[in-house]
Amino acid sequence: MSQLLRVEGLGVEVLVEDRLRPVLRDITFEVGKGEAVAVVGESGSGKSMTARAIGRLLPPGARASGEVSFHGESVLEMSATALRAYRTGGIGMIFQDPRASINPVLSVGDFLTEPMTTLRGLSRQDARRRVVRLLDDVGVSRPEARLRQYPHELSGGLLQRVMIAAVLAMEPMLILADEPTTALDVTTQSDVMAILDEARRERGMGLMLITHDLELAAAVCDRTLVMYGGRIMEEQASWRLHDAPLHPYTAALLASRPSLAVQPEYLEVIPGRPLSAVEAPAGCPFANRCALAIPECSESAPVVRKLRGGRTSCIRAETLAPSLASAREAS
Amino acid sequence: MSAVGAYGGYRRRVRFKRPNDLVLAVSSVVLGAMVIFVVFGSVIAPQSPSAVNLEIALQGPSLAHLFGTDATGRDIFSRVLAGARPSILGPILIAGGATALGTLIGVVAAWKRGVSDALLSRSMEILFAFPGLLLAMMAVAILGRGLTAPVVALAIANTPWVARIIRSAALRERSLPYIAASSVQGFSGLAICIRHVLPNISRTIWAQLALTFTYGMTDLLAINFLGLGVQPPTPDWGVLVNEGQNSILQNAPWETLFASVFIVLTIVAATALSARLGDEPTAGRGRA
Repeated sequence: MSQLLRVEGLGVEVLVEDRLRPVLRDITFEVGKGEAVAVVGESGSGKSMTARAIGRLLPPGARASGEVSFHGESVLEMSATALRAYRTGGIGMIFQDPRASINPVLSVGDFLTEPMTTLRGLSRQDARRRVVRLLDDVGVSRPEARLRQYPHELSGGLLQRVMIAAVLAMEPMLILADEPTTALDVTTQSDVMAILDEARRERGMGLMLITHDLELAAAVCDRTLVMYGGRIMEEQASWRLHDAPLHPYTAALLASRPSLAVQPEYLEVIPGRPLSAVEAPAGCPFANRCALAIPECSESAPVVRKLRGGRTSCIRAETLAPSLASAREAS
Repeated sequence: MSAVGAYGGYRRRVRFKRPNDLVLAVSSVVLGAMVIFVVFGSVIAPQSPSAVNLEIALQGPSLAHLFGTDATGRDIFSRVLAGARPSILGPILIAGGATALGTLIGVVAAWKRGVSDALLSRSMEILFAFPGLLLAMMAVAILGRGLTAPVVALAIANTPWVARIIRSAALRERSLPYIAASSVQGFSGLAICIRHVLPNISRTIWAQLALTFTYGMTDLLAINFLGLGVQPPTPDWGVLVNEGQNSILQNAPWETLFASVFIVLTIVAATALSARLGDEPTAGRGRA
């Protein structure tokens, strides 16, 4: 699989109370052409910040270091023109809350056709025809009528489909989906994910899916990246991650999910609270909540390294991995 | 449960809508009338605004002369109507110029942020230091009497007020997620500003236009009152107030009085309209 997006040693610092503080440290991963990669982690782990850095949508005053390259071209150093070309055809971004991400005073039709007419030079009729077909593809009923409606007249699920159609319309090589189903209710979540997944497969687009949902990540994505406290904890093929996690954090996450088969009185929890990346200490950010931590964990910054076909940042991974895997099988 | 919700919702809508819309209606009628006077004032005027007749000087209001006559026997009603054009067009030019310039500066500052913002904002703050009236007098001193110098000076003097408010409105708008969403779609900053930011802050812009009109009018008429702007015999309201001053002592305050009434009516109506425009659009919220 040839490489599409490559992120290497990406670090981001943001202004907090007039001081630059790191929120992302040493993020390295790749997304191949047509490949789906999930990024999972708790709130504040830096998932969204990673996506924003890739789209160069960092907040004012933020500083990015390291390297983000798309088709070999450095995203962080692109000129304004190159950046626009990259955003027009290279990436497409789907946001968490479709209602906030669409200008409320434009009709759905204007919202969808405008990029095609102004950025791609299509005629209004052609753009309209394509948009109607796309809306039909993403399961929007009566697409012709929808074009005349305004965002407030559509439900959240419909609006997210419109957003997906808008992204698909530009045929990007990589879709960045930042928790696309979080703002939707559970029944529409699976529909929207199925549509996104199908559209992606048919068109051969790459996908970077940001989510809290480990099951969703495993269902849709080839590989899963686990983040915590602004760092990558581990990365593995999704199907192996569930059976043989390489990091105690992943194992703890997996253990705290409800299961359909067994219904315990209390769910497992990870003690403590998730750190925001800003607070993360120099050592392993998970060390103070980890049941398996040893003093060395807090001493030096963890380095992500290859292990058993995946990658992990846990310094004890070699010794722990077999027991983490067997613990999963036992439960 | 649902009864409480329905009650609250209904009450809110009815109570807030009416008084506002009454104010809006009255001020619209006043301003509409003023617009008619601006366009047709000298045509509607029953008599020539410059026909002198010393025999009927300083008369009080009567059927023949609705607002009475001035010191040289000219019909005040006709003069006030004919004066609408110079009195209102000047402030409109001031408001238009200041709002256009202020919006441009405000949106650019909010969009560019960083150094450009600092530069634009600081130069606006320097402009704040000059009172509009003083700037206008200075312009007259340099460029000579007439309407052009004070209008240009007052437009510039009012720009920072508009720029500052538009900047903050644009800053708030640009931080909304949909702006990030459209910039990641590949739209240029200019396209986003024109298509998304400006329409979404248009209420604020219109409100500023109306408000600047009132400030511009106060200052410009003061300039005309002082005899630095529009020159007699053009019956500008500021000029009328000035000319009527001496007649007040002769028990004939009509010229000053009626010109002032027109000034006050116009300014109050424009202020009310501006306040209404500045409000959040609550009236339509109950529907959907």
